[in-house]
Amino acid sequence: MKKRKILLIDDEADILYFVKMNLEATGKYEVVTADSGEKGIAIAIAKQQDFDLIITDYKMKGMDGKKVMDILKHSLVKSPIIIFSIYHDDNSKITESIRKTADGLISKPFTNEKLIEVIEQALKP
Amino acid sequence: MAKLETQDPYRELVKQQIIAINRALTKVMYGDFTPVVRSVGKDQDLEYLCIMINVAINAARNAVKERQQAQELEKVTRELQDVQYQLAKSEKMSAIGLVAASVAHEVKNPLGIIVQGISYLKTCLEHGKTISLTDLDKIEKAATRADESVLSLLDLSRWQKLDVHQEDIHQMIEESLNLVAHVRKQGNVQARTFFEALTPMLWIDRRQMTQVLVNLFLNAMDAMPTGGELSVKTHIMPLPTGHAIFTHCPDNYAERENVFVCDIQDTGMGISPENITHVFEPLFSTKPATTGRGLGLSICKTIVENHLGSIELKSYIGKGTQVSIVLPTEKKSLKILGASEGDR
Repeated sequence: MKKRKILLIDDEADILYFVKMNLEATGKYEVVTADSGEKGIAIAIAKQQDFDLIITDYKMKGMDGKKVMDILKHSLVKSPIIIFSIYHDDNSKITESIRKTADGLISKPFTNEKLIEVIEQALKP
Repeated sequence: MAKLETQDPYRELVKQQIIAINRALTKVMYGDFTPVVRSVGKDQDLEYLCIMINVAINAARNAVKERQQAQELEKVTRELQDVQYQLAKSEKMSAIGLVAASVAHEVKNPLGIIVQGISYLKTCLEHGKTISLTDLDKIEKAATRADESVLSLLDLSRWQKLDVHQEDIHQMIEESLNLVAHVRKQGNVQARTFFEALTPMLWIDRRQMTQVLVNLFLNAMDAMPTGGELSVKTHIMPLPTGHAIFTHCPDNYAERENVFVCDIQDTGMGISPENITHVFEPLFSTKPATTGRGLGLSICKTIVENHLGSIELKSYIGKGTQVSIVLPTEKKSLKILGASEGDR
């Protein structure tokens, strides 16, 4: 089976490291990382890479995850997007709009099993 | 006999006068100070007596009125202090609310690293791969970070009791500069002091004010990653009309009252105008997530304001930042801010 290509955006270097290691250890995914929203968009759009899935953190220095998602959703990039670190019990308008646009939500901290479950759900055709 | 007495005209006059006086004094006894005793005849002695009694009633009325006013004033003052205390507390509470929302992020992020790290270690064990020390370090670092975030939150939410003594602020500045000396030398930062305040003795909490100074010095050095100059100037000046300090401590300062000013200036990168309005907010930081927790300046502000002082910041991109602390030179009553009762 062909490996699924994932773009992972988070400003926490250690999260990028462990999530990449964990996902790649399954043998099912290939993970490219970006440590800011700006870099993530550059990789996704400018480099015209085909990602099966994009995962971005919500709260980041500089551009936040919502902005990243909004820009990507209005671009030619058609990959599903998963957002990290929104609290499930938060009913604010921002959370509501993210919930509508995103293809998956997962709040930190999460186990690898939980993340894979959300990824597989988002990857379903 | 009685009949005979009433026949004496002077006696009769005195009796009538006494009845009039009695009637008035009975009213006074029940708190009515309006009666005026009139003399019933033309006798001069009785007239004087009436005048004196009226003067006495008047004096009593004034004394009672003054006492009532004093009581009312005291009541109003107490209510005002209460409101001020509640206000200060609610401001603090909203700051805590702001922190609580963000602290969830500050704690959940490192927790995310820990949980992911453990998942990875499990995979390593399952596949017989060696676990690297660097990976364990990453997890340990994340745990420490989460702990520090919680501790800082506790620091901020606690009504810290001020332990105020008369202290030599110049000596404290020198000591705080010594505390950060190693960072300063590593970062190639020159420190210079210009102590122009002639009376550096201030009423402050030594430990908390040292925390403020060290925090500000470290911030200044962070702003100068390639080295620079950190200057600390002090002087005493009369409080300018309309100074910001009047807004948060309106009753504690007189116009033109002498205050102590300490300017801490760096030659660093400066803060952008859009960030400068947020620098005193809890958990606001422009530093990387791993180094700055964004609580330093908001804690500094709380401590300085608990001393009935003020803290301001001016910055010019590429030129540097100046933080000015204003503190009272006289001993102030610090009770309104809840500083005296510790853990409120």
